[in-house]
Formats: sequence, structure tokens, C-alpha cells
Amino acid sequence: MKRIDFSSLIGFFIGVALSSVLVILFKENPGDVLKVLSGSFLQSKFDMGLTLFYTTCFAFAGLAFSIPFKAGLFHIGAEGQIVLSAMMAAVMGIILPESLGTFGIVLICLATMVVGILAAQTIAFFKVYKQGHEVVVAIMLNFIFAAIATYVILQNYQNPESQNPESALINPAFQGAKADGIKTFFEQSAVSSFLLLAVLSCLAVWFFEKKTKWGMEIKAYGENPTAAERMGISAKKVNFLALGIAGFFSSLVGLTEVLGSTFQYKVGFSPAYGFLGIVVALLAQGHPIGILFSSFIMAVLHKGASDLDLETQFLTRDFSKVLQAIIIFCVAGAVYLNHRRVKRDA
Amino acid sequence: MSKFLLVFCLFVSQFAMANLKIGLVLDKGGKDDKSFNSAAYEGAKKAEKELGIELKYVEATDTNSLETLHRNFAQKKYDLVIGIGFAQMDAVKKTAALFPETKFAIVDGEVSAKNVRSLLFEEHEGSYLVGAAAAMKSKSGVVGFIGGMDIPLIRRFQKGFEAGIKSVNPKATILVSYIGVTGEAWNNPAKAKEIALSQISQKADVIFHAAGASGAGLFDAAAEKKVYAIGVDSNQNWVKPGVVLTSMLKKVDVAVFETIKSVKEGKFTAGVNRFGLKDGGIDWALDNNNKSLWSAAEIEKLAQVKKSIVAGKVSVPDYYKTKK
Repeated sequence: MKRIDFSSLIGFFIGVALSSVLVILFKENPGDVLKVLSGSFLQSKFDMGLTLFYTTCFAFAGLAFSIPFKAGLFHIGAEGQIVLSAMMAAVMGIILPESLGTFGIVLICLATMVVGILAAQTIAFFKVYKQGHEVVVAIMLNFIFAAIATYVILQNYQNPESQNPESALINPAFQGAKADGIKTFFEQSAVSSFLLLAVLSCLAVWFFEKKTKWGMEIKAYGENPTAAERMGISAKKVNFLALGIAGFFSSLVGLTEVLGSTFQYKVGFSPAYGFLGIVVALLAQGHPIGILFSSFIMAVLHKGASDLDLETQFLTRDFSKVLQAIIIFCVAGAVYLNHRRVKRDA
Repeated sequence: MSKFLLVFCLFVSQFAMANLKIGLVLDKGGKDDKSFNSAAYEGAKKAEKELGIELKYVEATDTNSLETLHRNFAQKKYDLVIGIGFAQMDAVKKTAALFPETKFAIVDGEVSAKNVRSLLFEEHEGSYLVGAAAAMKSKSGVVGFIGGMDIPLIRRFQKGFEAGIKSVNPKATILVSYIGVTGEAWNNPAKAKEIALSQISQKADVIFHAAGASGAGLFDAAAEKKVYAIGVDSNQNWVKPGVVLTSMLKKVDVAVFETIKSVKEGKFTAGVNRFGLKDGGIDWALDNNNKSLWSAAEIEKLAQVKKSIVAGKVSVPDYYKTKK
């Protein structure tokens, strides 16, 4: 039996301690700051809903990173896939006729997922056939996809009633999330039933990784590509499969935003979900159930950070980013050090 | 005893008065853009100093956080929440409906609700005026315009500016460029400088910007190539004295200050407040930094233009109306 690894938690607390020191240097009370950071989501149901909305997005983005990571791929292309798939969801929501009803929602979901998966497969294509490095390809694609999405939305579907860069609202028939139980409970906050889907996804991924052949193949390939290939596992297949699943989860972030929260595409809607997903996955050390918890922790921090500016006298929005960065840095550092120690002992 | 009570009451009422809480939500450009947001910040700071209110300002991180910021202020029982910029219209509309007790104000956007005051400016009038000024000062007959984000609000600046130039020099060539189509366009001085340099290479010798914090790039380019620039929103004459010909003032600071004052005095009214040349809410800036650039005759001529706009003798095209 493997011992439970607490290194990420230890790193988390070191990070909190270090940032407290910084806060004292800025003449603020670290106790208050911690209270704001961790407690702001408790203020009202609306705030809780917003935190759970972030949790949903972070969980999907975390899964989009952790699965390719198991196959030895450092996947930082989720951001581009999220933006592109959100665009697809908004466009489909606008052009599909109202008469389709619920079937229309299904169509939107399918189209969005296909776009997300194809966007991720582009990375796999360059990796497998053109010997490109997945990190470089993904970074470039992030910019390209964002540019495409902005262009399509602003040129063809700009909201005529607003001067903001955003698409028109999707057809009212597809705004089903407005009536869903979770949203109503949280006072029409951003959260929606996609939260349940996120929980289910984490469980499903856990099952996939532990109990299925494909899951094992991804893991085996990630541990030792040469050995895995000798055993008859195709490198091509693993690359396409792992990134395909990642693209699928990226597209779910896009759906959560468009079908679950704003019902339109707003340029710049994502506070870098794709990159925060990396943190979430590392914090959980790739464990799908752990991702559920780490995405909640990150969501609380993210929500709290935006309140720091409001609640304190000297701390600004930029400073709250510094605090987040310190915590992330300490967690990643602790995980890495522990990883090295385990390797040396083995 | 009664005297003591009286003093006590005075003290309490003083305390209560001082406790008027004002929340200010700035746009992405932030309070140091030396232009639009700076003006709003100045106005609120002035109110803090002179009216003894409690001021708290925040800067929007992304468009999604706007509604949360407004909500937070309202939840904390702030008396007045001011949203700066058209981007906050949706957020104000939604939050104002949820918190009917809280007063809201919005600059550059129209929200009709019982607790919202909309502060609108007649940008085209001021742009017409500085357009006339630019045409008077241009030797090459080529004048440039740099817009921030390509939206109706900035088109309104552009159309007014063009009309102003044509009124003085009907043959003038006008070069128009926009920095972008997203919110980043307000904060991209590098791109603004590139555009300015390209316009200067096409012989433009006076360039007007309506691009928030990006305008810094124009001032750099103008100083390098020794041409004139025109500032916007705040008085930007001081940024590069001798280079900045004048600034089109959009007195967001006055609008913000007056709104806070009205709440303080209990005279807050909802509805639309318009600011134009007539009431001095829009103007052109003449101070020690640019005085040497203007002759008395030119100043007189601009005063005439201003007078005829106020009197309605000149009709300034308003993009909000003409596009429909």
C-alpha cells in the first residue's frame, strides 16, 4: 500500500506562511487577509455559487492537464481549446433555430466537444507526425485559437445592444440552465448543473485510469515510453487518445461558461482557466478525486483574491496575484522536492 | 445636561455624516491611465478631501468580475457605487435591480432605473472643437486620429473631430486608425506609437487620440518627430508640454464629484445627466503648458467656434444618431 503523500499540503501551508510575512511588510493584518482569502465565498449564496462555478471550470481544466501529463505530455493548450469551444457553443446557440428545443442543446454540446477535441488533436498531430514539441505547439495554438474566436465573434455575432466585445445572447430556448435547481438555489449565480458533471467527470476519470485498458496504456507509456512501445502500445494512439480526452474536458469549460453562466461569448471571459488548471492538477498530484478538492481550494483563493482589493487598504489586485503565485510556487516546489526524494530512496 | 446631549447629538450626526461610503469601480485602464479613469479617480479623491466621505476604489481585473465588485459594494451597504465606463452597464443594471436601496451612478452608459444616475457626455461637441483647433495648426493639411477600441462611443469622437477639421479646412486629409477591438486596446501604448509613427510618415502633423492609457504612445511619437498631439478626457497638456497642443476635456471628475455631493446633500436624483460644451462638462484645455502655442487670435477664433456650437448655429454630427 502506498503511503498518502502530504507534500502538496505542506507546500500549501509554507506558501500561506510566506505570504503572511509579505502581508505584514505591507502593514496589513495577515489574519484579516487570510480571513478574506478563505472566507469571502461564505458571504452569501451568490458568492458561494460563484466559487462553485470556478470550481467547476477548474476541475475540468485540471483534468484536461492531468490526463496528458500521465502520458508524459505537458499540455498547456487547454486555454486555446477552451476559448475556441466557447466560441463554437455561442455561435451554435445563436444560429440554431429555437424549434429544436432540448435537442438543440444536445447539438450545441456535441459540436462544441468536437471542436474542443479537434483543437487538441492538432497538438497531437504536430507531435506525432511533425516531431514538434507539444509545449511549443500548444503555446502557439493558444494565440491562434484566441484570435480566431475573437474574429469570428466580433465580425459576425457582435451583440448589437452593447459596446462590449461580446456575442449576442444565445437563443432563449437553449438557456435551460437558468431554471436549473442548482442555479436557482444559489440566487442566479454563475454556477449551474455543470457542477454535477464535474464531480461525475472526476469519478469517471478515476475509473478510466484505474480500471480500463486505455487508461493503463496511457500510464504505462508515460512511465516508460520505450518499454511501453516494446510491449505493443502504440505511441501514436496514446498521444491522440490522451490529448483527445484533454480537448474534451477543455470543451466542457467552454460549455460551462456559455450554456451554464453567461449565455454569450464575452471576449476575455477566461481568467486563464487553462493555466490555472495546471496548478489544480499539480496540487492534486494528478489524482482525479484530488482534483475535485484542489479545484475547490483554488476557487476559494481565486474568489478571495478578487475581494482583497476591496477589503483591505493597501493590497491591490496585483498584490493578490503575487500571493496566489507564492502559494502555487511553494506547492509545486514541495511536490517536486518530494518527488526527487522518493526517486532517490527507490 | 441638555448641553451635553446637544454636543453628543452633534457629534453623532457628524460621525454619521462622515460615514457616507462611496465605492468607485474603475475600468481596466486603472487609476493611472492619465486619462479617463484618472479623471474619475481625481473627482472621487476631491470629494473625499472636501466632503469627508469614505472612499474605496477598485480596478476591474476582467469583465466577469465587474458584477461581483458592484454586488460586493452594495452588500457592504455602500451609499453610492459609481461605475466608470460603458463596460459596466450590464453590471450596474443587474446589481441596481437587486439592491434598490443602494444608489448607483454610471459614466458613459445609460441605465434607466430608479436608483441609477447615468452620466453621459457630448463627446462629439468637444471633438469638433479640437478638430477645428487641429486644422488651424496643421501646416501639411493632414490630420490623424487614433481611436482605442473600435466602438460607437469612439466613433462619436471620430465623426465630431472630422467635422471640426472640415469646418476650417475642407480640403484636409484625415487619417483614421483604431488600435483594436478588445478591451486591451485601452492599454497598448506600443501599438499607439506605431500607428502614430505611420501617420506621421504620411505627413500628419497634428494627431488626436481617444485611446485611454494607450495615448502615452502617441505623445512619445509626437515628441520624437516634433509634431503636435491632442490629449483626451483629462487635461494631458502637462504630459509633454510643447508637444500636446491641447486636450479635449471630458470632465468625468466634475460629474463624479457632483454626484457624490448630491448624495451627501441628500439631493440625489436618478435619470440621465448630460454634460456638454454648454455647461463646461466638455471643453478644450488651455493652461501654462500650452499657452505659448496659441496666439490671441487663434484663441478668439476657437471661442467663436465654441459659442456657435453652444448656440446651435453649427450642427455637429452625432454618431449615435447618424448611424441609425
